Parts: sequence; structure tokens; C-alpha cells
Amino acid sequence: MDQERSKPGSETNQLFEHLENLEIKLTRTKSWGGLETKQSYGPQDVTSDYATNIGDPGAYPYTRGAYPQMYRSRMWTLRNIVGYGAPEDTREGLEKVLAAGGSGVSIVVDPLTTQSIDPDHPAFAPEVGLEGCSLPTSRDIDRLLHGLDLSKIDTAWHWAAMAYPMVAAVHVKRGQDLSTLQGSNMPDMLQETLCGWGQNLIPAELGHRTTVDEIEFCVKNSPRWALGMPQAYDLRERGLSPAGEIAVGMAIINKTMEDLLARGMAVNHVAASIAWVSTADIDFFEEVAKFRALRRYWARTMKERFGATDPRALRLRIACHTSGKSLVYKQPLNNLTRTAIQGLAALCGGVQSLEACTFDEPVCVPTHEARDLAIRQQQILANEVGAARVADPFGGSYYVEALTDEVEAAAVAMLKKIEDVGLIEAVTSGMIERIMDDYNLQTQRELDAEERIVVGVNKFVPLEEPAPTRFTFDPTNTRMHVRRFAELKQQRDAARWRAGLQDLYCIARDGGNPLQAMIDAFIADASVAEVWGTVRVAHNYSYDPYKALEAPIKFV
Amino acid sequence: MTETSTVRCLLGMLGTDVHSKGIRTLAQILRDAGIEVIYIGEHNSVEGMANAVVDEDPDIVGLSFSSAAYIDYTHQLIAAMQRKGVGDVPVMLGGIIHPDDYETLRGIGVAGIFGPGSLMPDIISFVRSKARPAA
Repeated sequence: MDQERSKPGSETNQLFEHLENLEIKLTRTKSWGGLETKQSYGPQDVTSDYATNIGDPGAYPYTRGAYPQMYRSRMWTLRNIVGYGAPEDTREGLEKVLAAGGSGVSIVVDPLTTQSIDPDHPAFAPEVGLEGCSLPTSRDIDRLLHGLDLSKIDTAWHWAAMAYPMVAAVHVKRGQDLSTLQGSNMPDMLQETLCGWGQNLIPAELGHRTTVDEIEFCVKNSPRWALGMPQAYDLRERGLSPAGEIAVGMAIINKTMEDLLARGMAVNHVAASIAWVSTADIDFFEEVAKFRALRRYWARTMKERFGATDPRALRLRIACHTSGKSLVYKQPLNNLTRTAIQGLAALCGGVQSLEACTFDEPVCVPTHEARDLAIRQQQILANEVGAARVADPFGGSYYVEALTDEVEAAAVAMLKKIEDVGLIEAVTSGMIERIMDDYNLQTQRELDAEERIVVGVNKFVPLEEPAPTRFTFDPTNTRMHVRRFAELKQQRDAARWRAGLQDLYCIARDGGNPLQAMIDAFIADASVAEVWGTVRVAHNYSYDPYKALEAPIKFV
Repeated sequence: MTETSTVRCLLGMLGTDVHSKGIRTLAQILRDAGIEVIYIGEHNSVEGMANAVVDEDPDIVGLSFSSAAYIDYTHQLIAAMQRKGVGDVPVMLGGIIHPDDYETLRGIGVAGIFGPGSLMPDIISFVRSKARPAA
């Protein structure tokens, strides 16, 4: 080896070998989601009839956008998610986002709260407030949002069914009417069953029923509250292609709509309250095509399957958060390149709100600097790039029109398979999870074979680099918050609290819609674990999904 | 160690973490590589997982974390395994593990750390290296 090295010119040779390794070669002609593409597209590839299958922006079937003037009439809502520690900590983060120019308040709660587990649960102390804000009671939500008028400020909750009754409880306690409540949450519980929560945490039947209850109640009582349905973001992250997002998402929508119509609801009211929660992954063209195919398929389904007539029900609004799983840990600043392209895809696809992941998403809870850059990135897209100027800038592109048709066709095929089995059965039997596991396995095999290349993962990996900076915060407030929670349980009006849970139990057990009783229980200072645990017991499931705790009262 | 000995690898997750994509994919890839995988799923308690180690008698235990609580949970698990007399079974960690924590994790007895950017062949050979000689 030493002799080899001392030969004249060998260093240069090594350098050239190195260069060869750096050359960029096309390893893949399929889209990121697995659709084969041709070397080029031409007029013969656009088979859709413009008037019936594409249409102008703001006109049925809304392929080209939900509104005729798109961002000229209303800019997208620039969101930036915040959530860590105690309510006081997250409040501080929220104020920083608004000061930096964010136009929406978007809150992430910690995994315990999302799973309706209280911060005093014996098994999970290390996790309180760690990956989101701990919000076990409506008093905590009031602390987080003090001074914010919930009839004027739109709060977006990255949180399923319990977000609405808790926020509603705060609004009512402040003396305001449910009909004036603004904001949004993501009541899709089947998505949770599918995305790592499993049947123990969210039994599919009970989860789906709760989703239907919440949509029914919200549409009737809080028409200004938007419902993020389906929560297709998590489904994609768990393991679905863009076509798979439309398929599983529409399966959830169809089943939910059927059940709501069976309760006497009108499709025109329900569909108008819904916004699809989507993602943008790294394949720019495929994501643009997906947003277009999704709007078209939604409009067709609402009209032809459910008989919708109101444009507000036919035109789908889309909330997009760029893909977290697409981001890479090594050389994390490369993620700014990725999120810029994903954000541009979302805007070219015509979304109504956009949250860009921060570049440090794969490393930790976002640092303040990373969050600031995520907002600046959207300001660059809005003001410099021209992303907002013209509706559906890719309309008429041979490639994008053909890809829109292909994504839709693949989605319809998968949706049929799911609906042939029936959605609930497809969830409980593990069929959909198997589809997602297979997709992930295929992706990993392609990475291992270097057919699919991700910079910094399986190619162009930096050898040595300093450990990335991670977000840290002082846990003092979190400790105080846990103590305060324990004190509330001692100090609350025990008779009122008990009556609240008992009423909720009876209504849920007798098959009624439990949402008003949930709101009342939260007003009576019941905690998130107590309220959801009561609903579980009423449906013959264990009070604590982790089976470490018993119900705090004996229900009669 | 002989070529024919099969490695038993117990995989699972602790706490409320729902990010199961990585470990489920790993389970299948290890199986395809001829390793016997016992996947005990997500949402295990520390006690429950330590009991599973006793019951299943694996050659190695693999944990995956997307939550920043991994030091506390891993520490608790290794302590529980020691109490139950299975402290000699090596533990490996994968997921969002920050390099600043590697030393702490090795200090509490973690045998293998596969943070972001780890390659499947490296994980497979590490798991294989923990095979006990056939009895």
C-alpha cells in the first residue's frame, strides 16, 4: 500500500476516481411514489377533456384550483407550528412566530396529551412536554391562549378529536357562544389507529364513531370551526405514495360521509366544513399532480356519489405541511433546499395553508432560528419567486396533466380494493397497515440498492461533521405545570366534576353524541385522560389504554 | 459461533412514541436476512419489555425512538433487565439519537447505536455478531 501511494501521479488518479463517484447519473425513471414516466410528454398524452375534466380555476371539477383568482383573492395562510413544555413555554414560542410574520397560530401538543394521557401517568413522566405542549385541562389551554379572542383568531390544532371540546370549553367559560368559535383541528381517529397508535389506543370502531360525532356536532354548533379530514399527512408519513394518500384518505372521507348522511346531515354542510390535511414530499411534479387529482376526485365524489350541489362542498380546500420524513439528518441545512421545493409544489398545487418543516426537523423540536428561516422561506416564495401570481401555473403542461390522470387512476384502483373489503375491516384486519409496510420495505430496498438516491442518506454522505445543534428548553415550567395539575385535581369542585363524568358516561353508553357532555366535563375541570377514559369505559374498553390506571369514579 | 446458529432479536418501542415505520421496516429486513425477529410492537412499558426479554430469551434487544426521552427510557429498561437477571442481553438503539448522547448511552450499557444515516447492512452484521454459540 505504501509503495502504491508513493507512485507519482497516484494522488491525481485517486482524485479522478473520486470525481467519477460524484458524477450525477439518473438511477430512476419512476416518480418518487413509484409511477413509471416516459422520456417526454406531448399533446397525445393529454387525454382529459378541458371543459369536463380540467376546467378553469374555481370551476368544477376544480382540478386547477378551488378559487378563480387563487392567491390574488386570498393569500395562503403562512403557518408555523409551535409546541413544547408547559403552556407558558409554548406561549412564548407563539409570540416569537407572530413577531416574525407568521399569519396563523398552529399548536402541537405533546404525545401524552394527543393520546389523552395525563402528565401524572406513572409510566410516562420523561415525556411530559418533551415533543409538544402539555395541555391536560381546559385551564391549560386558557393559559396558552390568554388574551386571544377565539372568535377572531384562528387557532390550528395538530391534534385529533379532543382538541375541539377542550377549546370549546375555554370559549364557553369566557362567556362566548359556540357558534362564534374559530379554528381547526384534525378529528380523524382512524388515521391514528393506522399510524402507530394501534387498536389498543384507538379501537377502530370507537375512533371512527368519535370522528363522526365530532363532525356532526361541529357542523351544527360551530360552523366557523374547520375540520382537518382526513389527516392524510400522517398516513403519507407512515408509508403511502401520493396516489395512496388520495385512496386511503377518500376511503376515510366516504365512510365518514355515509355515516353522517345516515344521521340526517346534509353533504353540502358537512363537506364545506372539511379541509384535507396533506403533505408535499420531494417529487415536485408528482405532488403538484396529486393536489390537482385530489381536488378533481373530491369534486366528482361529492357530486356523483353524495349529490352535493353547493360549490363550497365541491371545491376542496387543502392544508399542507411539508414532509418531515423526507428530510435528512446529515448536513441538515440541505433541508432548506428540500422544503423550498416542497413548499413551491404545494403552492403550484393550490393549497390554502402551508407549513414548512424547519430544517432541523429530523434533529429535534425546532430551534427558534430554524423556525424563523421556515417563515422567511415562505416570504421568499410569496414575494420573490412568483409562486402566488398565477393560478395553476402547470395547467396544460403535457407532463403534469398526464401525471394528474395517472395519480388519479392509481388512487381509484387502490380505493376500490379498500372499499371492496370495507374500510373498518381494512383497518382492523391490518390490510392497510400491510400496504404501508410493503411500501416502506420497497422504498428501503430501493435505497439499499441505490436505485433511489437520497443525498446524505445513501449517497453523497458527508464523512465527518459536527453534531447538529438541538433545541433545549428549561424544564422548570414543566415541573411547575405537573405540580399545578396535581393541585387542580385536589381543588376542583368534586361534585360538579363527578356529575360531569357521570353524565358523559351515560350519554356515551346509550349511543348519544357525547360532544356537549365532553365540553361540560372540561368546564368542570375534568382532565383529558378522564374525559376520553370515560368514553372508553362507556364502550367497554379499559379506562387507561396502557392499563396502569383505574377510572377515578365508579360509573353507575 | 457457528454459521448455522440463528440469532434471536427482540424489537420493540417504549413509551407513547407512534413512529413505528423504521422499526417495522427493520424487522422485515432482518427477517429477510435470516434473523429470527420477535417484534413486540409499540407502546411497551419498561416492565413489560423487560418481562418480554425474560420470556423470549433473545440474543439481542433493539429499541427505536423518535422521542427525545430515549436516555431515561433506555436507562430504566437496562436497570429492569438487570433486576430480572437478563442484564447480559445486549441492547441496541435506533432512531433519532443525537451524537451528543452516544457517550451517555454507552455509559449506561447500550451495546450498539444506530442513529440517523445508519445503513441496513451494518445493523444486520451487528445483530449477527451477537449470536450465541449453538448449544
